[in-house]
Amino acid sequence: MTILIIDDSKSDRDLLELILNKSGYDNVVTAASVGEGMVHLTNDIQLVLMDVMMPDVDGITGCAMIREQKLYFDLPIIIVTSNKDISTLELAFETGANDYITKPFNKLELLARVRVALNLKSEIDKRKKREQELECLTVQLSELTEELKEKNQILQKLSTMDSLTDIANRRKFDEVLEQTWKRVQRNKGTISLIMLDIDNFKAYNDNYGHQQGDIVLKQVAQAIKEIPKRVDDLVARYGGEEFAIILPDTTVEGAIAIATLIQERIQQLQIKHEYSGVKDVLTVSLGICSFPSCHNLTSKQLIERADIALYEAKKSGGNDVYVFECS
Amino acid sequence: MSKIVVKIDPDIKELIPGFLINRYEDIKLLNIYLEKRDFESIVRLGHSMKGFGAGYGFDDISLIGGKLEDAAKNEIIKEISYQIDALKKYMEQVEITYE
Repeated sequence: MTILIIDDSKSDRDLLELILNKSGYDNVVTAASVGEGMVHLTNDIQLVLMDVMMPDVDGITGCAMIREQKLYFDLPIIIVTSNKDISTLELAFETGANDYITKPFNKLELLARVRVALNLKSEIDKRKKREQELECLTVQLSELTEELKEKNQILQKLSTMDSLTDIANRRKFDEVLEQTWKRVQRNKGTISLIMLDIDNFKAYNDNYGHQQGDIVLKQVAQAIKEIPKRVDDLVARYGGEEFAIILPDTTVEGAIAIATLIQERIQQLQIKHEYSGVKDVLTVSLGICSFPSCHNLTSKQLIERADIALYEAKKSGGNDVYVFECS
Repeated sequence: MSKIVVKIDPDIKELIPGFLINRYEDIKLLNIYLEKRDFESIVRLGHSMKGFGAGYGFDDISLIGGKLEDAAKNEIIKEISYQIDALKKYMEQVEITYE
């Protein structure tokens, strides 16, 4: 903790320095001019005692020169002056002096003012340090929040994806169907649901092995996913070799078109299935139920009816598209 | 010649010899400034003396300093000369006790 004295009179400098030293302020630096004082100005300086009337650069200009530097914005400056006129003091305060002592000064008054100024500086420094710490903590906190958000997104994705086929899982399907169903009811809109099953997949697994079966499930899932184009359409793995497709704002005709496209696309994959009994390549059967073509339904009934249509398609020999006919 | 006794704070005792030497230097300087009619320097020196004199305990030096400052501001040579003499006399008469 260092005090800087800027005064052109040696007798003044000596007296101030000695009084401060005798009162326990061991680090005192003196300068005979503002220019010399600026050389001594460092971060260690906690207080400046500044004379006013000095040759070349006076103390008022000296004050302004210190305040011009952002680093010393809070550095206390006490003006030590024998000019008691108000205009000098006004000017000193305007340029950034914090306090003043008139010469000849009383020792006790000098020490009291020095103590107050140093306390103030130490409080300001403490507060600034605390502010910096808080700022640092805020940054850390927002970084952590961001990280947490990312992790949550990953978790969210993991909990709604089917790990084998990388499309939506049953849980996601239930969630989306429920939301879409409510919206359709509210808006008196349309919705179609397609249930899809691979024909004779058990025979495929039995003959080609489960690992090959898994590869085929992935291929089929990706092929199905390519067909519906709207952002709100959802393709999900419903369970085993069964898939479900939610088509909001799609009439039964639109659903048939999409189901037929899927049926053709799967055949085009040309996945050999000698034990199918339907064809020599892998095929799928699809069942459709649409609302409001079938009215007064619950979302559960929508699934049940699409499942019945699927069952009908299978019963007729597979590789086909059936629509649940409402009575 | 009669003595002028001045009481000085023992805390600043070590500064006093240097202080007195500097005042004799000031008398020399003041005479040079006066010869050169350098009133500005006399104003500044008088102003300084006014400031520190009483701070050390030498109230008369503050008084003389103030008078020198005023006289030099108004460029009254006779008064400046009178005050330099007054300072010289004071320096010769002053006797210091520490208490």
